[in-house]
Amino acid sequence: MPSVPVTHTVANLYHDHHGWLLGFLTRRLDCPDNAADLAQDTFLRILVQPNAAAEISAIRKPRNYLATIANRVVIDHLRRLSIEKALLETLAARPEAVALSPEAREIMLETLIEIDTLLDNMPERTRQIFLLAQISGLSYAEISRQLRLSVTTVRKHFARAMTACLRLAGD
Amino acid sequence: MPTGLDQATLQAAAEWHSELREAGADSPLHAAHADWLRRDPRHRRAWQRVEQLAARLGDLSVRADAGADITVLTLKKARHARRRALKLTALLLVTTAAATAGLQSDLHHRARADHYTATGERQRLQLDDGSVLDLNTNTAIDIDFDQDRRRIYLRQGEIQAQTAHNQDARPFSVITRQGEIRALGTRFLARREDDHSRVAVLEQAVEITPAAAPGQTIRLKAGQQVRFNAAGAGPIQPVTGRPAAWTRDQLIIHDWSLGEFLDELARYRRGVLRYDEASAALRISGVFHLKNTDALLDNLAVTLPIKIHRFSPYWVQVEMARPKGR
Repeated sequence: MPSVPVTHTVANLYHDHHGWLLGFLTRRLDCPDNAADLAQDTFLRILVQPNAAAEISAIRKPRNYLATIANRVVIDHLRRLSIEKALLETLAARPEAVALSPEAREIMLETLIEIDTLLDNMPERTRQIFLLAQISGLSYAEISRQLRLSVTTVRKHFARAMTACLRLAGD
Repeated sequence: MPTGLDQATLQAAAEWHSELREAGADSPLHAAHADWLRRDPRHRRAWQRVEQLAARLGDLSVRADAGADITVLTLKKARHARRRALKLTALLLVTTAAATAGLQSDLHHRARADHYTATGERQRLQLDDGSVLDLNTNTAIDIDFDQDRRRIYLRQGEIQAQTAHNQDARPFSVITRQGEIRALGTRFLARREDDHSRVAVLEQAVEITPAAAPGQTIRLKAGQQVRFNAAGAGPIQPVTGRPAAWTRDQLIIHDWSLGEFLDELARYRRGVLRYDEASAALRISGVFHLKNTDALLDNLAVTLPIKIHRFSPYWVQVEMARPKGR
């Protein structure tokens, strides 16, 4: 395979399709400023992936490729927004004020985003059991009473969820 | 896939974690676990991953008072908000309806699936063991073969599985969210819907085990089909028509309502395909080619008393044609 310099190919992608990508993202979002940011993020994500050079030189339909990556960027963006908002609401709704430094909140937000991503493809029930066991620290017996399931079923769901998380977590 | 560890090892590690978290200090499980760790460096690596993950997740509850509650509530809220937002976008962006509506789940499945097809696409896979898989439109699967088992995870869509006629002793099964379909030397269709899965057996037989009812096994023979969810299966019914015709890009049906037909057709098209109640009740039979569904719709308007309205390439509405004189 001829070794094409990465920047050269990404530069081509950028030059030829940046305008189109901007339009594509604008149609998906309500704020045009965000579209510009997310277009940058899309190119960045293409650049920093492992084996970027090989990946990029293998692209056959650049717009399909850009759209796929851009869609993932949009999904991650919406995930961050929704979690940030939900976290603020949850904290605000607590009877006792929870004092969190901005740093602590940022770390918490990152962790929440990570968990949310891990839980993405899990069935509702499995996700629920995983959260109750691993995050809330309930015993299988407590969860089984709460959800009216057998302890064995609860444990099975939990192990399944853990497997899925391990698979995604990496070393 | 970021993992260098095989599924079986990760699963074993997760099982250990799930057992040990409730084992007392004097449980014999601890010694067995130590044995397991000693046996294989991969076991140790997988276990390390468990500990790292548990530590990261555990951090959360330390970080804030009652952090656990905050986590669970926040994630629930965020998920709910996203689901609502998605529905809204689907309504607003008519021209990109196709992309937006299915996008979220679609892409997530695809980002992690070993193999997938786009809407309107079809793919045939020849597996290492000689089995053949056909992926219908908008389908995502993961293939997980190890020394003991051959497993296909159907994340989304529909597949036809033809297991090889050889002496591979490893059981072959297709797994959906609702349960496991085990092949007994066979050809069958598995299709995943939101809240249930469907299986139609074309040759030989399969055994179905619903996910939440492991004791209940349903045996299905050639010419039979069934729907099942995690709790159990519906009545076994005969296969009608030619459910595998899509493997040749055809839809072969006999005496369906037009509504059913259009719902089926919509799976192969991007965007929205709507119809009114009157036209939905019309009956239809025939052999239809799925490669060009727009032409197919135009032809329908010739043979049936319907009108096709195209508001955009992605939004097509079928309506009963008004009788003359109005």
